[in-house]
Amino acid sequence: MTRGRPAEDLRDTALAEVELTHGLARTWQTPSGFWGALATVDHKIIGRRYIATAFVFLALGGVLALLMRWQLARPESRILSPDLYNQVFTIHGTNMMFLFAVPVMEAMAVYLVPLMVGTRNIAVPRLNAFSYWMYLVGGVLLWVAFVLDMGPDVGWFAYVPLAGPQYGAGKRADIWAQMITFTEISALAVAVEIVVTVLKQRAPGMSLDRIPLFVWSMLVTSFIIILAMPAVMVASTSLILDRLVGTHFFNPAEGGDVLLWQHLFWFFGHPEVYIIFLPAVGMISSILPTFTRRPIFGYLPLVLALVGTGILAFGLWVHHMFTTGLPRVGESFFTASSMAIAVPSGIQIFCWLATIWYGRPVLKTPMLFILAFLFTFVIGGLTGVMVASVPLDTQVHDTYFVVAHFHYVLVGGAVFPLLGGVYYWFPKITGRMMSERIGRWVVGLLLAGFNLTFFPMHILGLQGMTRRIYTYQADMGWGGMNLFVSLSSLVLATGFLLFFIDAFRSARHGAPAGDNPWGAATLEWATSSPPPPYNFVRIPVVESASPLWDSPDALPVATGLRMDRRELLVSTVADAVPEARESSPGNSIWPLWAAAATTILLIASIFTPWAVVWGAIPVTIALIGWFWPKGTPEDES
Amino acid sequence: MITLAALRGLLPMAGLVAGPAAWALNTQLGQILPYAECGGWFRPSLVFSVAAMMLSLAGAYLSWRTRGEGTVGFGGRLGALLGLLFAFALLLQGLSTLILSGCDR
Repeated sequence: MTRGRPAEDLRDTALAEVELTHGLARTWQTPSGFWGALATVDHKIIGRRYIATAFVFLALGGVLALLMRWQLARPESRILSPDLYNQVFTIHGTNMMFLFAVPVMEAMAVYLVPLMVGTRNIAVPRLNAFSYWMYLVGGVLLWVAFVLDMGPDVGWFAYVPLAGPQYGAGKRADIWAQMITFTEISALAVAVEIVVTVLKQRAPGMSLDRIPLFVWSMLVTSFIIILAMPAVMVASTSLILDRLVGTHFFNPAEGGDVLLWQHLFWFFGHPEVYIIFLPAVGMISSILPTFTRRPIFGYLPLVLALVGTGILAFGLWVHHMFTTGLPRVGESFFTASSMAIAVPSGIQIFCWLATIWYGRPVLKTPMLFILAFLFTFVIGGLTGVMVASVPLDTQVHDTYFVVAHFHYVLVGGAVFPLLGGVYYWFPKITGRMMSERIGRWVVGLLLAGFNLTFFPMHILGLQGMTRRIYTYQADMGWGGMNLFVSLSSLVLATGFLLFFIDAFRSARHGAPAGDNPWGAATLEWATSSPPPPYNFVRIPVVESASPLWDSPDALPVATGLRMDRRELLVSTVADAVPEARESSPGNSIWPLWAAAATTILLIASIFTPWAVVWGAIPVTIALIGWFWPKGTPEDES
Repeated sequence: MITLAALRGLLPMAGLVAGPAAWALNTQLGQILPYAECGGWFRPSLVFSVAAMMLSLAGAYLSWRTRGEGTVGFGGRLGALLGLLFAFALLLQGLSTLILSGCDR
């Protein structure tokens, strides 16, 4: 069955350019209208939604941060009640980690990875659509609960026994635990898609040593997600079982173990840091060559750093538990690994410095963000080595020193590169440039605002100010520094506000970008801006790690794919030698229905365990509908 | 049946597999052995750390030997460097057993 003329040869080899372009557009398009928008499986549309939603959560989380700074600006303030403050800091942390930082990195990958590896859609694209709906519902669940005064109040890591049935009254901790389920399902789904896309859908010739470093970083990150996130899902599910059906996983009185929670959580929680950080460094390694006008220095050491960091990330989790009374020798093994992971981070820093040193730096906004990152992340890395040491960590544990440290690593180490990435890839996504003039203001305000806000927190921590306190007495002597921090946070907020204004304005009124406005070398710039639904008219063939620089006139292309159905090229893992033509599923509303059915099951199971039984019926129906053959050309295989 | 040629094809992976595996095992042993070591003169955690480091270095060496062109050479060099990185982590773990006793809490 075909949509066009079945008797003709409808492969791209036999068609003229115009006919091919029209045919591909017809085959890969997302129908206009409401249902078309809901049913799309185009990775670019879903990626844009993911990115926009994640930035909405960033803005919401930022408002909560400002609320906390308003409260802490002076001693014995009564702007927020202790209960509300508990909800605010919990939701700030939960939101930023689970609804912004991880999803936004995956979102960038959902949009960019298929383009960077030269394929027409992400692998398992309906799962991609499903993952977005699950993520959206998880986020809405958290924020609706907050508005209804049911917001979690147990910290972003929800330690037991505070989050357990004995102390965590009501449904607040359950909301947290089930929000975890939503976002982890979503993250795991995307991770699987990225792994398959990178390993099996690369353009011919894109061997392992020619993969763009952002793609490498997302491959490593996806494996970390697949290995780390089940731990927190097991933990949060066990917590719900303790709270709802009276199991005793975390109840020492009945043979459970409180510390089990911390082990499970941090076995996920520390790799989580690298789930956020590695995509950011991948962005830097992909952006930097463009603005230094030379290939990256040390491709192999940079891949080593990504892979090494990704593995070592799993041997660091106990450094969050140094004060729990574990044997010192055992703890010191985690100190050793925490010190060792500084090596790949250092390798990356030196490779980037060498790239800048040997290149001809062009100080556009994305490059300025990279410079801001280098300055900020090095400070965060140094304090990271400090808190990896048991004696120092014991002194500063649960103080603002740690708050300062992880904001330096996460904001300096991940958000700055991310914003640089947004300025860099915005032209590809929208077809329009962001403002260079406003961008420079954004970098300046964010760099100054961030350091003025968070550097004094090191000192506050060393002075003994503990985390999560909703107020403090005047005679503690922290008032002046806290007021300074709160005022500085307004500078930081202004920077973010300006960024959002620039993004909104540029999306409508920015200067037209053209296909490759920065003169970059990787494949996403080989197609139009924004890319057509099929990404590439013909699949590019790669002959080096910088294909657009090494083949400046025209890329060689692979031909033979059909036009009348969604078809991809599948290639070998190591050398990306073409193996087969494979169909790619078309648009479908069933991922949305499956997500709706799963939502009913998960939310109802906060209130009754029977929801798992009865809720499984609509989930099963939705999955049957999803996989039932629809008689489309893509069903042929 | 696994042939010699097939095994040789896996050599670039030696550092990638041996280093992380030895390190993961030693990290787990580091949580278990202190309880057995407390009060005794024999320090198995030191012995295991040294053995794991040697295993990681052996993996690095095997990977390095396969250096060549293309993705095989790339994999070999990557495996060799990873073996060295994990040998360094294991060296630090071994050193920590010289400083602390199993009884320290």
